[in-house]
Amino acid sequence: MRGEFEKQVQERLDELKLNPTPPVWQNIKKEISDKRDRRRVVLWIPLFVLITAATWWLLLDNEKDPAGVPQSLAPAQHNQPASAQKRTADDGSDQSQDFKATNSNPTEKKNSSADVVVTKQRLNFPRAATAQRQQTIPGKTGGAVDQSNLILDQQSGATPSTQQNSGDDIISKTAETQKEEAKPIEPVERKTDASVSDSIAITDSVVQPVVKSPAKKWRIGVVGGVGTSGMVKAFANLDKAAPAYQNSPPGTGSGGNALIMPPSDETSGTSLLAGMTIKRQLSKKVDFVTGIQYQLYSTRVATGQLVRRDTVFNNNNSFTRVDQFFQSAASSQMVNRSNRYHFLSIPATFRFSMTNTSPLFLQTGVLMQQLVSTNALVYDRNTGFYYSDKSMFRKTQVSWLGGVGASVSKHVNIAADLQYSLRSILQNNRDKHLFSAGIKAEIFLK
Amino acid sequence: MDDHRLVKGCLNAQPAAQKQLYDRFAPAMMAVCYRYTKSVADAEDVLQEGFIKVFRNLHQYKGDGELGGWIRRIMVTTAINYLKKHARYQSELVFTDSDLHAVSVTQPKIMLEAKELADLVRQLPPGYQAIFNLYAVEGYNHAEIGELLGIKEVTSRSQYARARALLIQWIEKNSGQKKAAYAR
Repeated sequence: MRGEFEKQVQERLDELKLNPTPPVWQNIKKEISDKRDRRRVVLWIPLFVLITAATWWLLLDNEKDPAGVPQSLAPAQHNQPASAQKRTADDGSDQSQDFKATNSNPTEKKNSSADVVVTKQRLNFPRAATAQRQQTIPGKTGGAVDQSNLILDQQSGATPSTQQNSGDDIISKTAETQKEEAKPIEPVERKTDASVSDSIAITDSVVQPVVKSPAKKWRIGVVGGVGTSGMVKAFANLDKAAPAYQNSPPGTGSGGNALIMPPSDETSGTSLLAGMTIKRQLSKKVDFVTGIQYQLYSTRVATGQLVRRDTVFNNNNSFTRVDQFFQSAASSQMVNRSNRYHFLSIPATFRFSMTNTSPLFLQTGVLMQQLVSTNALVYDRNTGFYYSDKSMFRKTQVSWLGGVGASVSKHVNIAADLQYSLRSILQNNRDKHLFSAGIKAEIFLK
Repeated sequence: MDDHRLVKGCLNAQPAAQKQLYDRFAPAMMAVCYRYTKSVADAEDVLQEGFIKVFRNLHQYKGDGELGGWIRRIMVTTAINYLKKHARYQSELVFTDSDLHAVSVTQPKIMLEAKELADLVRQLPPGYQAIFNLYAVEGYNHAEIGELLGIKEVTSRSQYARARALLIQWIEKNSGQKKAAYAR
């Protein structure tokens, strides 16, 4: 039962107001913005999937493309209306003037063996299309002839329109043969009769498939590499606003504390690379290479020992609360730590062959990189300590890439690469640019 | 800025609105968190966790009640969950069925300042402290407290009686000391 005591307690305690310390809001703000960042990444995923799907579709599309049939001809011939087919026949007969002359009026003029010669027709048409063309020939030549009775028999040569003609002259075809026309075409040189073999010859041959150059297709492969990576000062920078104070010893500046140790040198470490690559030849000498890669950069830094203590670091009024940090290298026993940066990268590289025949090439391009995770420590110039604060790092990086390489075989390339990040990895220091130098190998699957 | 516009601004992820909402309610909510915990650091942890929940679930606030009340309920729930989660509170949050304790009918006049009273509440064992806060300050009944803490209603009633008796004893002692100090 709530009584007078409870009422008094409630009223009195409701009066109480306490101000939390600044890091609370900083952490809340960070959490809220992190959520927004995650949303942004989620928005990028569909775009990435779309690009990957489009690339894959292009690859599949190239694979499906029939090598022997020029796309501009084959489907069009299949679907042409009769009139168009007739035109085609006319066009074909243009190449053999004798054939045209003979068939222009077959009932009045006997087809002489010397007249009907159709040679070297382009047989990269499908068989059905060829048959249609052949059907139009008697239709055209003997306009009154019933199509159902149009017996084109090589053996008898007895067709209504050609009864007056020498049976030897006729190229015939039965309805049954029409059914067989679906069979794959074979280059055959057919002659109707020994007696007219010299004159009547239909040469369904000379199939010369038009093969697309495989070099023009996208080629897919895997890439892997190893090298060294480190941190360098800015010599090209996209971050003009960022100061470069962090490398200067804090104790030496005005108002600095001389007891605070400067940051230790960040020495180079190992870099690794693995991923998928796709390449397309743009011209005889230029290739475009892209793909998706995982990249690891690492650097080494000397710190003091680990201290587990709740501490708030103030970096330009950005407060970070940590439960552990590392002392300055000189203040206690020195510990070498590896700062590792894990990236997902999309390269866009142009590769220039030195000559048409040389296997050597030069390459240059850019890398779009997203920092996936890092264990790197941040130096605090107010205390000289190192601590972990992931919000201090720029997640999105743009790097220049350049190098030289050689095609070892049709499927294997080896290259020496240099990469330099155009953005500083730290938000509050413009002089922290990642670089790497190493060798990589590409193996293309087809 | 009124509550409605403030909420709208926060839902549109406007940093200024978010900061304003925090500035308006943080002191009162810090006091709530302070009463449920044993240290300022823990209170700030609860406050931080609570406000993150507030910003992430603000779309669920329908505007049918006071915004401060809605935020306060989130803070209380967050505080209870924090007590359950952390070992230093958990050991003392284990409730046992106890004999019924008659609620003391003593209704002493509280001569203490809010902060002093809050500090006395914080000296109660964590189990007592939570139940006392929930019943006397937040206005929950024992059935609701039982559900929230996962204990029987009778246990909540019993624990509250003990907490109340203990607190009255301390208040009287402190009030007496204050009176004596004033007399001198």
